[in-house]
Amino acid sequence: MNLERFTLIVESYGADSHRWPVDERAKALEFSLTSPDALSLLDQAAALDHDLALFELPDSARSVRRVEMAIFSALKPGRLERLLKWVLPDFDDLAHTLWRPTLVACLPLLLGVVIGLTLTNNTDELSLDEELGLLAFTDIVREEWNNE
Amino acid sequence: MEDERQIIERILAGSELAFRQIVDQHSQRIFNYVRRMTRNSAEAEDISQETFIRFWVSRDRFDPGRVKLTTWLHRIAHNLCVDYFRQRQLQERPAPVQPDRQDSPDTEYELSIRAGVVHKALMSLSERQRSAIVLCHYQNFSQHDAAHILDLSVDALESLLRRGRRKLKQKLAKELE
Repeated sequence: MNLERFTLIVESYGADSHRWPVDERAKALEFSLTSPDALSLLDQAAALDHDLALFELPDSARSVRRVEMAIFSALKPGRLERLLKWVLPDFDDLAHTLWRPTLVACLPLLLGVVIGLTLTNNTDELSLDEELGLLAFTDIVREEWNNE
Repeated sequence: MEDERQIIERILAGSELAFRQIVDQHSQRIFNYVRRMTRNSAEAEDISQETFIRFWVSRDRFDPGRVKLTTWLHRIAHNLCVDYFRQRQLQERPAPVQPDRQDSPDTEYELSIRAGVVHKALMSLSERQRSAIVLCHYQNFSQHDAAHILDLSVDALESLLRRGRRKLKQKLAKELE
């Protein structure tokens, strides 16, 4: 280490030895203890370091939170995208995901069966009131028939 | 607890949850860097957000064996700042500061004036000089990592730092005399 190199280091990185190049730090520190010129350089650099430390940022927690929320919402897929992602089979794992598109394809068939059964039940079966009415009507008809 | 290397492996495998962890860990530091570079909180928010989105979209290009994650994120942020300066052709001109000379000055007020002068002096540097000083002085990067972020040799970084600090010293001496 010599004064020329020490000057370059301090003028570049300042007076704080933690910012100096790691591989030269020990020699530079040793040099600073032996050279009056080095001490003068360190004082000048320390003054600038002190001024730089005055430039503090205002509290930015809200801004950072907004940044994080924006990133996370950008990642979040829409409903349709999520549905499609669920329905479409994973070709790397077909055995476990093939049932999903199969189920979706079967839904219209299942719906048709349900509607068909419901309609059939409605036409074949009579409600209790209807049956009573029908029986009563039959009795009246029989009574009238007997009277005649 | 899961270390960063494992989180990065999960990110590279496409885990959004792991990516969220990285955002939580690094967003403040990236925002501070961009904020010091742009001097505008709204722009800093946009650039910080874009930094992480770009990292996520092009995560395949990140090689954890070659470069540290924080260095990689700062490099993306720096490139976005350069784009920002190019697009806006931002030219910060230091406004003349008139320190209030009073007989019994308020120390805190004087400090804030001095901080404002330092701020403006920093913004008057070229984008490259400012980024070198911000990375080494405020973000505490080693010269190797800072040089990698700026895509420079260590010698070139030292030269930038030296010229930047010299210019700052002159400006501060002039403004604060």
